[in-house]
This record gives sequence, C-alpha cells and structure tokens, in this order.
Amino acid sequence: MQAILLAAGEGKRLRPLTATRPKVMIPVGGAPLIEHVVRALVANGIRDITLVVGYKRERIQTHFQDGDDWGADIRYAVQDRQLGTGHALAVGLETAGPQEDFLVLPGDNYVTTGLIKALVQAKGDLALVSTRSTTPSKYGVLEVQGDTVQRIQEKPSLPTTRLISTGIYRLPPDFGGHISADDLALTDVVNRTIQNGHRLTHVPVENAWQDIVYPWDLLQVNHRILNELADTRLPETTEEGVMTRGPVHVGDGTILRSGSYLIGPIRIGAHCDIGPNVVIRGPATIGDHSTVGPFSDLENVTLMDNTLVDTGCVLRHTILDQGARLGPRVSADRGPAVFDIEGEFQHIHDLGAVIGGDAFVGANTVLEPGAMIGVGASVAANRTVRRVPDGAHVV
Amino acid sequence: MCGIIGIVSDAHSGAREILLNGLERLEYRGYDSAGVALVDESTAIYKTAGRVAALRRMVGASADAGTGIAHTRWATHGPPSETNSHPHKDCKGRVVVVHNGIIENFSTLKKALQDDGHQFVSQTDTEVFAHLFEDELAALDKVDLENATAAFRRTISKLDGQYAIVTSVAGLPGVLFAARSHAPLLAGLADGMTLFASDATAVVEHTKQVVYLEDGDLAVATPEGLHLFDIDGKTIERAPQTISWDIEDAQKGGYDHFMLKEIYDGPRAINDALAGRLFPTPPHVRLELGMDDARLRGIGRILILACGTSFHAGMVGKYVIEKLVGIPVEVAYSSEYRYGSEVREEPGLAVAISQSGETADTLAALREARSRGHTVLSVCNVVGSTIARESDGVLYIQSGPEIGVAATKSFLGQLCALYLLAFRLAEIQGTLPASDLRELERGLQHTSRLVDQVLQKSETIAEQAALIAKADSCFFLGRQVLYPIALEGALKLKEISYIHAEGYSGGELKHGPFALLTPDTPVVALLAPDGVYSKMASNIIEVKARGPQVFIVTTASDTEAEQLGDHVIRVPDTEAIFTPLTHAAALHLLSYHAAAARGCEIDKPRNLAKSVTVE
Repeated sequence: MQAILLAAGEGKRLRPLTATRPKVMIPVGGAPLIEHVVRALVANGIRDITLVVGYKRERIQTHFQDGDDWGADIRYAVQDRQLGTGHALAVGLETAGPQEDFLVLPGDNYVTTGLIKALVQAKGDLALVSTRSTTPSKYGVLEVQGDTVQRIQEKPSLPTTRLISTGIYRLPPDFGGHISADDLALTDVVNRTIQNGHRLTHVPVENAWQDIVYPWDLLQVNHRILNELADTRLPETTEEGVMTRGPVHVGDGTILRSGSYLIGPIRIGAHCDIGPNVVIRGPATIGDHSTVGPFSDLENVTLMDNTLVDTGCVLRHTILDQGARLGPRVSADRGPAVFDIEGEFQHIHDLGAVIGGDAFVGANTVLEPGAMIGVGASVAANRTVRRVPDGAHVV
Repeated sequence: MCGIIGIVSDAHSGAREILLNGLERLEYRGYDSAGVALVDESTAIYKTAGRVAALRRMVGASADAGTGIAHTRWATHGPPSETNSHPHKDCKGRVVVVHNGIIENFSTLKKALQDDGHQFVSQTDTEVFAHLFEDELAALDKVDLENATAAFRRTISKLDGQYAIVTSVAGLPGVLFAARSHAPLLAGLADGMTLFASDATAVVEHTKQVVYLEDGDLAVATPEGLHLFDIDGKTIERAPQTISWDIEDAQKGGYDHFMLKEIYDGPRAINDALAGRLFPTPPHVRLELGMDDARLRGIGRILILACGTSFHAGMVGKYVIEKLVGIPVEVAYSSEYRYGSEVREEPGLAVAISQSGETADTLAALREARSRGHTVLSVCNVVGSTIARESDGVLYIQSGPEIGVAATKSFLGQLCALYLLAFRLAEIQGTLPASDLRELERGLQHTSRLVDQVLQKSETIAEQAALIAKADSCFFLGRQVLYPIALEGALKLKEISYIHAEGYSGGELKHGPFALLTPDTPVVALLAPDGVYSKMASNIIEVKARGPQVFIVTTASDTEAEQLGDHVIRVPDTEAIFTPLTHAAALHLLSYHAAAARGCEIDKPRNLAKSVTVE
C-alpha cells in the first residue's frame, strides 16, 4: 500500500512560524509535523510515499531527500498553486500511480500509528478516519448510519453532529478517475462517489488525531508527542549535579551543565549547551545547536534549532522559532491573550510568546502574554512588547 | 551510511558487473571504501579504501561468479582501511558477510569468540557475525539449505542492534541469506536471479519487482526466488511491489539537480562542520588536529595548498588567520608549489585542502611539503582518503557525500573548518581577548541561519541569473575577504554555465581588464560593511561608466547599493569576516540558475570530474 501526503499548503494562521517554511515542516516534539506522519506510515509497513509539495517545497525536500533515513521511498509531486485538496490529490496521483488501495493524509496533522493501522484494516470501498470535535463547524461534518458515511457536509453553520472527518482516507486505485478538472475540494469528490453507489466507511478514533491551526496548538501537540517518551537518556557530556525527574531525552554532543534541574517530559536535541543552573519544566522540546544560558527558567516551551536563550531568561508556554535569540533576562510569562487572526478573534487562556525565526530580543525586555515577534524582527533592551511585525526594529 | 548489495543467479558469471554497477549506483550513500566477494566453488574477496572505480580496477576483467555480495561505505567514525572494509569472513573463509548498521553487543560476543579461539582480523562489529555463523555451521551434521537456514536464524538471534546483513556460505552455491533490523534492505526478483540491496537504485536495472524487508525479517534467496521468515522460522508472505519511477530522480530528492540539492544542504553543512567543536568554556575550540598544544602554540607561519574551489577557501583562510592570529599565511596552488623547490622554507604548518582527499596535485604537494619539513594538516570531507591518511592531522568538514561536480556545500564546510582553525590558533596563541573570541564563535554558529536566509532569495536570484545567462562574458569583483569569493563566483559560473567569467580584486580591474568592459559584459560586485566599502563603491562607479549592467551582492543594511548598481541581491547582515559564507551561497545560486537558464548539464559539466585524480 502506498500513501499520498498533502504538504503543499502555507498555513497562514501559523505565522510567523510559516514565514520561512511550509506548515508541515514546523518542528514539534523534536521533528517536523510531517515526519511524525511519515514515521507512523513506515511503522505500518507503508514505505512508498508521495509528498505533494508546493509552498517552500525545498524545505521538505532537503529534510527528507529520498526518504532513506526513514526507511521510506519518498517521491515528490509539485502542486504549483494551492487550489484545494482535490486538486492536490490529482497532482499526487499522477506521480504515485497506485496499483492498489492507497492512503491520503494531510501532512500537517498529528496522527498515531494505531490510527493508520485502523484505517488500513477498515472495511468498505473507501474509508475515512472520523473523530469527535468540540468545534465541528470548522470541519467536514459526517452524516452516518452505523459505520457507513452518507454525506460529508463541509463546514456547516449548524452542525447536526459532533462527528467530523479528519481528511484522512483510504481510497481505491481508480479514485483519480472520479476527480474532474474543476474539483478543488476532496470532500466534493468523495460525496459524488458516495452518490454513485460506493460505500464509504468511517473509522472513529479518540485522542489519536489533532489538527494544528494556530501557533498555540503546537504546544499541545508537543505535549502529546512528548508523552510517548518513556526513558531518560543523557549524553556522556552530562556534568555532575544535573537532576532529572521523569523522562528526559537528550541528544549526543549536548552539554548539560551542573546544577540544572530538568523535569520531564523533555526532549533536547544534539550539540546544545544547557546551563549551568537551568530549570526546565516539561513538556519542553529544544532543537539542535541551541543554547540556554545560566539561571534561565523554562516551562512548557518549544525552542527550535539554533536558538539562543541568554542568561537569566524566564519563558513559559513560549515558542522560539529557529535562529531566534534572546538577550539576558528576557521574560515571557504566561497569561490570557486575545488574537485577531484572519478576521477571527481567538481567546487564549494561557500563552507566553511566539518568537519568529532569526528574531532578536534585547536584554531585560518583557514579552507580554500572547506576544508575537515577527521573523527577523529585533527589539532593543528594556522594552515591553506585544506585536512586532516581520523584519521590524523596535528601538 | 553504507550501501550493500548481493546477487544470486543460476549462471556462473555476471555477478561482478551487477555488483560493481550496483555499488556505483549506491555511491550516493557513501564512497570512501568498497569491497566485493565473488562466491563460486571458492570465495574471492577484493577490497579497497577508495571508490568503486578503484575497486573495479582491482577486480579486473577475469574474475567472475554467479553469486556475490558487495559493500560501499561512508565512514563517520574512524578511518576506512582495507582491513576494515567489507566483506568480512570467518576463520576458514567459508562465511562472507556485508553489513550496514551497528551490532551493539559485538564486544561481548567478540570476547567470547576470541576465548573460543576465533581469530579476528578487523576492528569491525561485522566480523563477529561471520564467526558466530561459522560456529553454528560447524555444529551441523550436514550443511544443506535447511540446516544452514536454521543456523542462520540462530546466529541472527544472538545479535542486538541495527543491521541489514547479507551473507553467503561456501559449499552452498546459489544461496544468500539476509536479515533486516532497523537498516534498509530490499530484495529484487528477476528471471534466474535474486538480488538484495540497501536501495532500489542498485537493482532497478535488472528488475522492477522488489520486496521490502521489514524489521525482524530473515530471508533466503536462491536464483528461483525468495523465502521470508521470522526469527522462529515461521514463513512470512510479502507481496512484491513494482517500481515505476525514475530512481535517479528519487536520489535527487525532488530537486532537478544534485547541485541545487547540495546548495540547499548548505545550512546543514555549516551546522555539521561546527557540531561538537565550539564550547562556551575554555578551550573554546576543540579540534582533534593530531597536534598537541605546544606544537600549535609554536606555529609561526602557515602554507595552504589547494586547487580550484578549495584554493578559494584557502584564500579566505589566509585572510582570516592573518587577521585573527597575526601570523603570515601563504596560499599556493598545489600544482605549482612543487616547482619552487630551490627556495629555502622554514618548516611550519602546511594545510592541504581537498574535498575528496584524492586530488592528485594536492597529494603531490602535500608529500613535497612533508619532505621540506612541514607538519601537514588536511581539511577533507572524505574520511580516510589518501590525503587524510598521509597528513599529520585531519580536520574533517563533515559535509556528507557531495555528488554534483561543482562543489557547493563542501565549500561552506571548508570555510567553517578554516574559521575553526583560525579561532583555535587565536585562542592558543592568545592573540584575541577571550570575549572577542566568544563573540566570533557565536557569530559563526549563527551563520547557518544566515545562509538559510540567503537560500530563501532563490527566486530573486534566479531572475537576475536569467539576465547574466544571456552574456558571453562576465566579471566578478570583490576586495579583501570577498576577493576569493569573486574568484569562486567566476569559477562556478564558468564551470557549469560555460559563460566566460573572471574574478578580480576591485582595484585590479583598471589595470587592464577594463578594456573588456562593454554594455554586454555584466559585472557582479560583492560588498560588505567593511573598511573597503567606499573603495569598492568607487570601483563600481568606474565600472558603471563603461556601460555594463552591475549586479551587487550586499548586506541588508547597506542603503547605497541601489544607487550603485542595476540589480541588488541582499544577504543578511553579519560581521565582515563571515560574509564569504553568505555571499558564496548567493553566488552558488546565481551560477546554478544561470546554467539552468542556459539548459546546461549542471551535475556533469563537460570535461570535468568530481575528484581530479590526475596531475
């Protein structure tokens, strides 16, 4: 069986994290979102994988190359314009040319290995993974009878059930024949195949899937992924007097300095420099080649590759994109925040800051709860900031 | 990373070519040593600490068989040598094996085997398998397919770790055994033969029907087909899959060319070159140079030997070392160095730079330098290559295999290695305050992000490259640390796009080459916020007056560039000393896109080879 992953989208609502990469490449729990999907597929013996790429596709290609490092054979299909999931699938099918049933998945969802297994084994000509959502009106809502889906209603204003489609399907090899040139959404094609008498079953899952729409969703998915950490692994470069509680997984070449106190689940990448006397309270993920200076106190954070947190910073519920640098004693405490994202107000109870790639924040600056610092922005010392656009300089 | 391949056929010949061709196709997984075993009535093993081409010469045209196994390696730890190259065999030479991965419990197993009197010839974990299998086979009453299969299962059950293993047993012609655990392995099914390989690339010439082995799978292959089973001997059914795509395209990972793929590997190459070498506490720079501190402290002059792109890296190295350490550095073309033999040289440190470590001119220069009493440090990518082996110390750039003929990521890796060397010397000779050094280290660590940002300008650069692609001749200008980058930009453009290109120091243009400037000769000028900015600016104004289109590569905060040139490529702000990295990345993209616009064969430019092994 082969799989087609839809990975061409930009993910505007996740800016500034998607300014430099497609949504699927945002690192969560130590690897890009889509890598977790690829791993789940390979764990089910599905190695022939076609990635439909578009927006900043070189990020995906440079990461996976030919897939060898994951035991997969990865091919790429380029969707030049992001016209919709139906179109993306048609593009993917041209490259994949499946001879048997295949899976199609969004590359930007969190999925478990078990979810894939259940879908592979499902009955019916077509199958999809369903789940219950507290906000069904944002998804395709399912009308079902038993395990058979009768219709998918795309983003209804008054949903009749909480059962939604995850957009993850198992489809027959000739499915491409149902897609016409003006089909943009996959849901339309699927509804038409149901009308033509094909049976679509749904496989309900709980806690095995999560959509990522806004930056703060990443902290939740990070938590889910880190919960799978079982053991503590510390590198040889760990100094005496480092205390760990719960699973803490640290990559090779990373120096953990004396007096540091790490409460798992924590994953730290390779060649980092942590401490001395750093407190990290999980869930926390730190990428490769990053530095956390002395006396910093971190809680529920995601620091991506090549980040720098200088002496005495306090960061809670905060995301630092790759290459972001914080001067000494920068603080980002957690608290309630309101966002206007793409014309929609979002109330978040508990968020620190989201700091874009290669941004710089000067010493003693306070980032308010919900602060968003744009890509490549810089903030001088001793400021209090909330919104800084991409490339802006706060002097 | 390694590549393995095995074949069993019903013929008595043909395995040699299939294995060697397969190895060549696996070379993208690594190519610092290779070996092949041809299994007939007896087993002949050939190995070399070199590329497959060398192995091919060694095997010759007469040796052949119907069955065999082969291996190509990319060493990440420890030098490759003939002894450590695969295939490995047991005491009697009856079992031969190739392996990709790590047998984690090998030291325990090895000790027990040695206590039982087994003789080990290599330091590898792989050899343990051969001896274990030997013991299991020796315990059999009769070595037939069924018994040997059971013995193979018992052998595999003793191993912990990650492995893809393919092995054969003398006396059982026409049979290969294989096992997979967390390392890639597939089987190819063809008429009258069965193959194993790390990657479909190696078998696709012979068959498009493949079975992907899963972790925990064991296999017996005969010319007629494949039998899969688990560790308890229970048969496993796996349906063959048909490969319908172009394998070479797959290796390029979605890019049109290896060169572009490798340009995008640049940020990673920088991270890998610096990984584990910079520390915030003394010694800040930790390099295994094979020289003690006293020796490093005593270095009073440096001679850099290199060719082509490596020579340009060496020129940057000269500037950086002279600036930070204050000792004189001479950079010589490897091919010319030997001829100045009458000059009396004071022995010092010679640094030989070669990506492949096999560049014949640099090797000859290195030997000459040693004979003149220099201590030789080499900067190489390929672990255990000839230049690396013949040097007193090696600074590996750790860039991974580079396939495109035009060096790109390895150039960035070489620059990083030379920055590290300069930092180390500055540190140990105390020529820089520790705080300045620490700032420089942080700056260097941040350059992978800067190069990453340059790569995001690919589309803008492509638009400008399309203009340059129309020209027959092009000039590159730079001063100080960007002068070698002007040379490198010109070299890249000429080698892949076949546009005549020259690099000049900004000040030199008016001493002759000015006569060549016309509105049809684009000029690419490299600017940085350094002490020579205003000098470069006036050079550009002089150029502009002769009518050429001027392309400027400069940093983000330069506010004057638009007034100076017609087209501007901006790279992120950084210390002037690190601009070679950002500007080189921009020029690599510029050359690539110019060549692409002209429809050139980018990965294999005419008349050129990746590693120049003739003088």
